[in-house]
Amino acid sequence: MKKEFIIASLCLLFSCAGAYAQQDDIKLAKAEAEANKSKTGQNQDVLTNYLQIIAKNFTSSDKGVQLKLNWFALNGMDSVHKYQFENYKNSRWQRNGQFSLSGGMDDNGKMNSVSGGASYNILNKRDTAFANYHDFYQGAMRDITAITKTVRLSHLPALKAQVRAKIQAITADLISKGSQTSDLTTIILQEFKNYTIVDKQDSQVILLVQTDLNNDIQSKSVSHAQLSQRIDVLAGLIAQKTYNDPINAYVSSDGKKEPVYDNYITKELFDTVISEINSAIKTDAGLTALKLNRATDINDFYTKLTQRYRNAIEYVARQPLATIGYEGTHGWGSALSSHVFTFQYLQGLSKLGSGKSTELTITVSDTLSGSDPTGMIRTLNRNLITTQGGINFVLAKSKKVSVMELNIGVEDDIVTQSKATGEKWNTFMFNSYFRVRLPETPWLKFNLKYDPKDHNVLGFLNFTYNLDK
Amino acid sequence: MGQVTFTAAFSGGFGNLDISFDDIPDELHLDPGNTSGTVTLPPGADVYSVSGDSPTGPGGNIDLEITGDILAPIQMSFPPGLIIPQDHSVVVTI
Repeated sequence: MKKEFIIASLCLLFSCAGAYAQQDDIKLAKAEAEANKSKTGQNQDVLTNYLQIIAKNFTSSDKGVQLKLNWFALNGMDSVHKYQFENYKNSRWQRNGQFSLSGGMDDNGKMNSVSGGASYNILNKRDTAFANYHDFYQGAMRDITAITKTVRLSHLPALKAQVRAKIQAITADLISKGSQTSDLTTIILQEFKNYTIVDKQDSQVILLVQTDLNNDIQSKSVSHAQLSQRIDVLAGLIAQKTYNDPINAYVSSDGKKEPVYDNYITKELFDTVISEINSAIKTDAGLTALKLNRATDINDFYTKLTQRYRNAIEYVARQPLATIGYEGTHGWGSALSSHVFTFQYLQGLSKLGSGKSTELTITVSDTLSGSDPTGMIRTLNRNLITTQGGINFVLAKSKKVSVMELNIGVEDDIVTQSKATGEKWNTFMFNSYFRVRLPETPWLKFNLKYDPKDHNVLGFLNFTYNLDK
Repeated sequence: MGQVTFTAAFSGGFGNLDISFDDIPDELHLDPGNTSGTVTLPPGADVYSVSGDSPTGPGGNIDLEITGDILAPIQMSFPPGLIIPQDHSVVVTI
């Protein structure tokens, strides 16, 4: 029966995941995955990103399946519009709430309870999407932009003159032959290997030159004044792109992509430009103050700057989160009905720049239920107050995403009214859990409770799947 | 000289765009509270640099559109995360 239960859970899990996966495009999923990299499994238990499916306690007698749905998942707006800034900002209240629906099962595989509930963040300081990170990088960005501009302006005039001379030679040759052309673009692209036509303006500038050239050839003009002006614009554009695009590509590829060396961007020139930028990084006063002058080169500089930016995101993701919730359960047979009111609080303990995601977790819940474990008497007369406190450690990350966590904590259960037969009024326990997963796979969470007084050990195994959309 | 307008559309949260120019000292800062800015640039091909951070929330993106006295409108898109400075060209027609 346990096997059937697990199979049923998996079927439910993947059918839901598939249905949601078809709704939004993959690009959006990747974008949210970026935002959710900094979230721990603990965090997602308190507030799911989008949809969470849990197979609870599937090795014990009170097993169940729980579906948690963030309120934002019910937002009917289409994928494009609901993420636009104003719409997304106005729906923050939705993202702070979630619904849950659960079904319980007895040892014979028969359903014996249904539960429904809702929770809401009364404090959420960890919304990474709406934090402003500008101050964390702007000083460094301004300085590196100034450095690259200074180096560029020292090389670009000569490059532009070289490009202009070549274009003038090409057009002069065509004029001398009286050969009109309908494909100046091909001639240009063959000559300038690092020039690519990306924007409409590229093809338009070439077309303007070609039109003036053909007009001058047809009219046998001798002044070529307008053609010279157009060539100057084209030479400026080609020189700028011939210079900038290889550097953009080199930096974007972390130094792996080198230019197609030609008569204009020679290896010597490219190496000189990169060397000048690297030298300026080491001596720039602003970058020295930011301790970024220690970067070995421009690629290392951006690696360090990007890490500072990520540190800022992770710091925001560790800020306080407080949630209140309610879950009502209707049980039959031996399953008891209950009302549970919960308060949860998470607070990161690691400083800005720390790679750790250590977190304080506090949960206080009040459970009103029956006191007869046989379920014969179903009066809701028992009240249990549970207080849990712990520290959640991220033990391992893969590609910046938490994949292994350990929560070490304690729990105190106080029955304030109508304790069940054999139950103690007050039970203190060590309560720890360990969760692990492979990237992009569900969490396996093993919860271990130990009562030091009576030496009782309880273990629970949960299976949690988060759909980050 | 030509008037060139930079307009940004943000999605998936808060973000920033900083735009600077080779030929003028002016700088533009765009964010969801200030989505558009105009500068006056000399005619011909001008270099501008774009840096910043694109929103990291779901659907995070910045769409930048460049219009005005230029040869042809330019559209650029920035996916979530830090935007490392990139240098581009715009052809001003007046």
